[in-house]
Amino acid sequence: MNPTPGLQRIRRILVAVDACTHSVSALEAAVQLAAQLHAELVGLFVEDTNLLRLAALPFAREWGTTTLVRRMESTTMDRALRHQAQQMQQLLARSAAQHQVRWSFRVARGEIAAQVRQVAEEVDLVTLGINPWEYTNQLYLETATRKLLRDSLRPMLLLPQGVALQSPLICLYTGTPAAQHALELAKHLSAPHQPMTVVIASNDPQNALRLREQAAQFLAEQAVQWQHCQLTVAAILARLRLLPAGTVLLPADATSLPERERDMLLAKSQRAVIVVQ
Amino acid sequence: MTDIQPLAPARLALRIDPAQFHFTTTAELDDLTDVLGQARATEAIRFGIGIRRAGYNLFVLGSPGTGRHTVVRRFLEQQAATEAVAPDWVYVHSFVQPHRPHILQLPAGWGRRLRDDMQQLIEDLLATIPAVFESEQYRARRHELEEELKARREHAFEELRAEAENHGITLLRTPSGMAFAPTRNGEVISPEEYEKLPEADKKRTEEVIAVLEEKLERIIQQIQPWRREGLQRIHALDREVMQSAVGQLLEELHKTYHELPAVLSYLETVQQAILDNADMFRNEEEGEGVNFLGMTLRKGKDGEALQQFSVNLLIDNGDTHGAPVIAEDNPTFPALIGRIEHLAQMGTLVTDFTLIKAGALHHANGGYLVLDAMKVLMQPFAWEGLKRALRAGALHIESLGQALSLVSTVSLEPEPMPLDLKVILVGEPLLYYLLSHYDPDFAELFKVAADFSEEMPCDANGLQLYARLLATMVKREQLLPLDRTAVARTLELSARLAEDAEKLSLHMRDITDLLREADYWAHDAKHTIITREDIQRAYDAKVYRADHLRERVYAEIERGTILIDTQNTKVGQVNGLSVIGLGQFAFGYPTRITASVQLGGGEVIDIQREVELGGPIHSKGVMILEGFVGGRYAAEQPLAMSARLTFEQTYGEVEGDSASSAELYALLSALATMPIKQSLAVTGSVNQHGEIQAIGGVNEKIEGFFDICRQRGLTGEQGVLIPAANVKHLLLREDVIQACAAKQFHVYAIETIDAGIALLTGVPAGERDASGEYPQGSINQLVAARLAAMAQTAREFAQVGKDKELI
Repeated sequence: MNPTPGLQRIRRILVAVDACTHSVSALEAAVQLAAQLHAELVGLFVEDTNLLRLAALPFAREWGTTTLVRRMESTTMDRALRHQAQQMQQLLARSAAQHQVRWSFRVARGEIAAQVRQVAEEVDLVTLGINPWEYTNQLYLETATRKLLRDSLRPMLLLPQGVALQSPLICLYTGTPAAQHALELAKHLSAPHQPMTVVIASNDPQNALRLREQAAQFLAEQAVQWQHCQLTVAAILARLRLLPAGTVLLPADATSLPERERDMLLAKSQRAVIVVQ
Repeated sequence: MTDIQPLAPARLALRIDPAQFHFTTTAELDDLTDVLGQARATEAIRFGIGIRRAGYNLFVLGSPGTGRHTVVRRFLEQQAATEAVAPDWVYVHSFVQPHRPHILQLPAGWGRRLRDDMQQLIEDLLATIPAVFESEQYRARRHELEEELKARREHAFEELRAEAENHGITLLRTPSGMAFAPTRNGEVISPEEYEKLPEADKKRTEEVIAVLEEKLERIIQQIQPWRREGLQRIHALDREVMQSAVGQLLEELHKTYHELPAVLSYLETVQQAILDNADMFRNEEEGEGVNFLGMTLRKGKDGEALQQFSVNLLIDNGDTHGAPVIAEDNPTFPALIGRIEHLAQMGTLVTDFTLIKAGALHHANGGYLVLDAMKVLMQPFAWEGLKRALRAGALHIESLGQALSLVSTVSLEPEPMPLDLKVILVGEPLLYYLLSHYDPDFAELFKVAADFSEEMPCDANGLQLYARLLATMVKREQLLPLDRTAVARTLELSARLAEDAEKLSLHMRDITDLLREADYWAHDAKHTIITREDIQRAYDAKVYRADHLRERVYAEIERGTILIDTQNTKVGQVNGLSVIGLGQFAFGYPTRITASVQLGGGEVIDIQREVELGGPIHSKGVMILEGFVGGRYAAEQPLAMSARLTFEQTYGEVEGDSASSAELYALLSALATMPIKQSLAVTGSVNQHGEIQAIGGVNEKIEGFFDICRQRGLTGEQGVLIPAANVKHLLLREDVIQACAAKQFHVYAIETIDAGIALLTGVPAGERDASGEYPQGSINQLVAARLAAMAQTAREFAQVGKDKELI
């Protein structure tokens, strides 16, 4: 198994934030990760043009969780976005200074996925906050996130609201190239003395043995705890529930998990997940 | 002349013959197990301990040193050993009224068992409950519930979203919530594009969005009720899981305590409290933020909250045999009633039921409590607190501040403990009688008095028993044994302590001290047994240690600073005798008493009283002799004399009437102008009939005058007049007895003033003949004649005065 170029070392991390509250967790996690890896942090605030357009429509109304409804206006939305951007920048500056991390911040206006994709070309890891929607977490991830997952070549760290990066690392191994990349990244992120968990996901016991040997050979000097489960969302989620809180490394290819099921897993896991292409 | 003879030496002291003891040393004697000389008291104690009625507590009265505490404890311990062990008492938290802890009674030894069982229960729960909530089964069931509840929400939103998408509308997240927006090619339509739309399309779009928003509003309105329902169902699941876990653990306790309904009832409340407060036992929720590659911090269990399930073992009789016998040496209010302690936390004082501490009444419950009465009365509010507990038959623990309503801070009000005990107060007789007279509660609460005697008869049986008592004391104190002579001398000194040759003292403390000190001197002399000489040495050494003042007083008499005559005669002057008591030592010494007479109105002036240096009893004695004089000599004529009596060279208060006969002798001497022998000293009280009455300290007084005469040189004429009623109290020193035997000193027993004045003057007092006249030259005749002359002179002066007025 050869390490993939670009995964040798993570030098630059992108954290994409928008106007929603789940971005804060992502920003904090990105700073901590950058500090740990001595990487540079690039903050990107995207002023979603969809929101701006919506606010300009004459009938646009915003509904809160307490049925408080108010009229949306362009100037208000504009101002709110600018304010949010400032807040995020200040938060990033404060956190980065605390952790002694090099950082930069940009504001872009446009479609979220497109803007993030553009900046992602310059970095080694993309960090996003996701909010599986308090009310609708079954199948729905935000469109932007789905688009990025589909198109990005970089590993993506997805953090649900209120979840932080935690040890140990839990790597899902299916034997695919993406799974191999995930294993490499896990090895890169772990300290030798720190145990990690590898979950062999396969519906075939023989294949599972083979995959385990393969992974064990690669992780020869690493302390590993081995787990096994079926390659289904339900089985993977059930296995994760039994494991201590930790950060999951998930192969992004369809062979491992179809897109829809992958999105469901991301929406329901309630963990930090690094999706590896 | 008088024919009163001095007392024979044999009557001057108690002589106990050692030969009547049929042992060589006390080591041969059996211990005396009975209490000697206290039949009345021991009978009362038996009765008081045995009777089981309210109010039958005991007051043991007697002088210190008579063995009250020792005897009482012995009786109590004997009785208590035959009685059942008192129960254990515990305080537990009241989950219904937290500020009113419950008290539970359990059989002895079960209190600590319950405490340990509850502690174990909590530990088991702390291990079991988190495991139950972390089990796959629970997580799966909870997940199912949560998913079911989420699914309801999601379904509603998904339906709405799908419906919106069918109309080309998307549900967007906004900074503060969500909104519907028309889309084209996956993007929200721009305002410009929207404006270009036909009016009908725009209207339709807005109508659709309005309908969708109505549906969204209905869904949002449902969220809170769904959330509540979800929480209730999760709570019910938690409770069911807890019930199973807790129930199993408590089932074992129910079996253990199935015969104790109060404990079972308590366990029911515990179970309910655990179910209501499951979070106390659970781990913290997972998913809290920690540093990547850092440590995970977990919040500890709330120790204070768990404490409410502990048990305060207030009274533990698990190791006690028989009923408790408690003696509280420092009976303050909290020491008796108990107290509630507080801890200082963050600037405030906090408390809970675990800080309830037992008092002596708690410890003695089911048994006996021995208290020193004086100590109880001297402690603020201790007596009132004790009475309150005994009256109520229950013990409320509260601070003095609470009891006096001085403190209104909310504190604990522990459930009272029912009381079943006997209180034994030990005190001096004066305290008993004062309480009986002034405290109406006392007679209700302390119905049994055990009166300790100070002395016992000095008869043949008493001597033998006393010898055994000495043998018992010697063994208990691990002293050298006494030989017969030492026993005899100890008995003689015991009589001296009792101040009566027909009694033996029951002040065991003094006797014990004598034996201990004799043991010391015996060792000092390298003796292997204690002899008479060792006893005497111990006695003399103790006197010597205390008689510094006596030495100084005698020295001043010897030096002539204090004027005392011990020979020749004087008119109107007599040697009285006084006693000074300092600590445990008393000594006597002579005091000059003088009388002067003049024409007057019939008063006898007591100079001590006039200058307020005479106590009431002393003044009474002077008035009595005044009554004697008036009754004998002035029944038919006015008393035209004014007399003054005084104790010369006394500058402090004089009290007591033991010198009233001496004062009368001085007065009669002055009236009759008949001198009194200064070689004699006088002590004795006189009544209005001229009878001499008994006084106290007769031995010290005689020895005091003897010492003064001896230091000047005995003449063979010297001696002391004492009341005949005091002969039985004579226990004089050996040197005095020897001087009397050698006729160098004399002790006379006097019954009447007439006998005394005859001895003091050498002139008969005289008795009235048939015509009512006294014999010529007798003291009475001389006094009567003098008073008659004074009366005549007074009448003449009065007539002259009248004549002058007329003129």
